[in-house]
Amino acid sequence: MSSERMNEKAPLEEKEEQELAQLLRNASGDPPPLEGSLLPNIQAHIRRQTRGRYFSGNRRTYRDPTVLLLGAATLLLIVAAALLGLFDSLLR
Amino acid sequence: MFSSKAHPEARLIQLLRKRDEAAFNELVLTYEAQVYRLAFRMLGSPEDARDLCQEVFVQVFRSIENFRGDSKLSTWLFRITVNLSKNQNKYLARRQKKNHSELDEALGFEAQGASGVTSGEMPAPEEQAVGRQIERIVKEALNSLDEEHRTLVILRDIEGLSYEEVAEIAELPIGTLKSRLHRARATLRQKIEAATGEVIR
Repeated sequence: MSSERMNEKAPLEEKEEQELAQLLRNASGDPPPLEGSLLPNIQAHIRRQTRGRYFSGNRRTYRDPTVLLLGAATLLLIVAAALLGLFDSLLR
Repeated sequence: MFSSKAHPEARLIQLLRKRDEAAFNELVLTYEAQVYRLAFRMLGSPEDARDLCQEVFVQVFRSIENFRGDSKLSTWLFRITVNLSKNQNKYLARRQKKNHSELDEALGFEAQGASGVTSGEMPAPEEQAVGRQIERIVKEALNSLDEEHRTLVILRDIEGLSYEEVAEIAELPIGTLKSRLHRARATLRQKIEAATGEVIR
């Protein structure tokens, strides 16, 4: 095939591609429009998955594990100190 | 509210990486319609497309750190949409739960809005019937392509994305993409011509 013929064929192929694309677009049409934004549902998904860490607004349910650990450690220290005090008073 | 001018994409990505809720809201509001439309093209059902669209944005929120920033944010979003849609289609095929009647309903809906009428004139009932039949043939031909070829045709020929964008979404070199598209179109043309008995030119 000569280069001249190849040059002639290129625009034809392009035209055929465009026609096929148009046919596909017409056949596909448009999807039914979204009824309202999906944002509230997406926020709810994320809120559930992050146990309220994100998108909770004022209803924050997420608890930082560090705070929980600190609380537990403090409680243990208090109990230990109380027990020590009790043993100390019993031994005297 | 962010605007694309006030907050260029790089800034938006930076905020998303910090899990900024307002930035995420803006991302969803900007891209949800496009993601939904692409999901619909891939899945064929508006309900599935809605669910998948939500899944896409939840995944984006979870994995924004994985976005390297070497493509547009929209390209990354479309890649996630395509990958999740493929998984969904595989799952449905495996479980053989694809609801054909639902798809037919969707096609019926499309046929109303896509009967090829471009002028103000009303086509005759026979012409409308022929138009709908051709649309059904084209749709069936598209659905009969293998998943990869179908995806490329949807992205390039139906959604009208550039070759570069499609190559990034499909993670293919441009040359490979063009040759696969060429093959997909040839297959489509053959199937349509065989079904209509006409040469599409």
